[in-house]
Amino acid sequence: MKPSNWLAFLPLPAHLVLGWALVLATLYLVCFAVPMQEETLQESYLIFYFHFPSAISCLVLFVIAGLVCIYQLSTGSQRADLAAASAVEVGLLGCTITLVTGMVWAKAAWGKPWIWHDKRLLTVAIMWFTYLGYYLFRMAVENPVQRARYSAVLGVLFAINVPLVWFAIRLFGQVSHPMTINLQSPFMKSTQWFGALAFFILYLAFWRLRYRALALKSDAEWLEETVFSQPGR
Amino acid sequence: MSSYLLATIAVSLIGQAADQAAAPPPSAAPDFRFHVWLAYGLVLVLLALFTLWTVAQIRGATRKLDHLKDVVEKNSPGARQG
Repeated sequence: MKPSNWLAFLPLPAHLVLGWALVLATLYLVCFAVPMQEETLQESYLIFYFHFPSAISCLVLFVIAGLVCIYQLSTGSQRADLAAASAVEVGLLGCTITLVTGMVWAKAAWGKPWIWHDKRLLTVAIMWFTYLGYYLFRMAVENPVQRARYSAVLGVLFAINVPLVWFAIRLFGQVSHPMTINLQSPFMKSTQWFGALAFFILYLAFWRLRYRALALKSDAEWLEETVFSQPGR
Repeated sequence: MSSYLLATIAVSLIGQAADQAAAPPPSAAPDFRFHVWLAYGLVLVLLALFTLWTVAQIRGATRKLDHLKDVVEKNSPGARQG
C-alpha cells in the first residue's frame, strides 16, 4: 500500500513540478483572468481560489488516511502505517492553509479573523487539533509496531470528524461561514475547479514525497538498530 | 469687456459643476488587495517550506542509510576475510 505504486507512470520529481506548475497557473488565472471583484465581497473573494482547494484536498486526504488505517488494522502492514501518516501530514498542511486563508478572508469580510460560535469554523479547528495530536502522538511512541496500531485506531476515529465538518452548516445552521459562494460567471466556476484539481495534484505529490521521507527514515532506523545490536559493537 | 469676462467665468463654473455632478462619486468600498496578497503569499510560503523540509529530510535519511550500508558491508564476514 504505497502511494508511489499507484502513480508509478509519473516519476515523483515530474509529479512535483506538475503540481507546482498547476498551482502557479491558478495564481496566474486569479491575477489576470477572473473578475477582480465579486458583488458583495469585492476583491477579498479572490482568496476563495486558494482557500476552497486546500479545504477540499485536506478533507479528501483525511478520509484516505482513515481508509488506509482500516487496511493497516486488518493487515498489520508497516508500509500502510507510513502511507496513512504521510497522508495525515499533508492533510494537516492543507487544513493549516485553509485556516490561515480563512482567517485573512474573515478579517476582510467580517472584520474579525475568527468567530467561535460559527459551527463550520469550530469543527475545522477541532479537526486541526485532533490531527495535530495524531502527529505528536506518533512522535511519542517509539515501538514501531505499537505506533502503527495505535495510530491506525486514532486515524479511523478522527476520520469520523470529516463528514461533521462538511455537513456542519446543514446540521447546525449558518452563522457567518456560507455554505456556498455565489460565483456569477462560468469562468469563475471553472477557475474554482481548476484550482481544486491543481492543489489536489500538488498535495498528492507531497503525499508521495512524505511517504518516501518516512520510509527512508524507517529503513535507516531499522538498519541502525540492526547494526548496533550486532555482537562486538 | 468686464461683462464678457464675467459671463465667461460663469459659464466655466457652470460647466465644472455639471462635470462634477455627472462623474461617479469616489468609491467608499474598502480596498482588500492587501488581504488577498497576504493570503496568497502565506500559502506559497507554506507550500515552499513544506517542499524544502521534506526534500531535506529525504536527503538526510538517504545519506544516513548509505552510511549504515557501508558500515554493514565493512563488517560483513566476506569483507573481514578480505
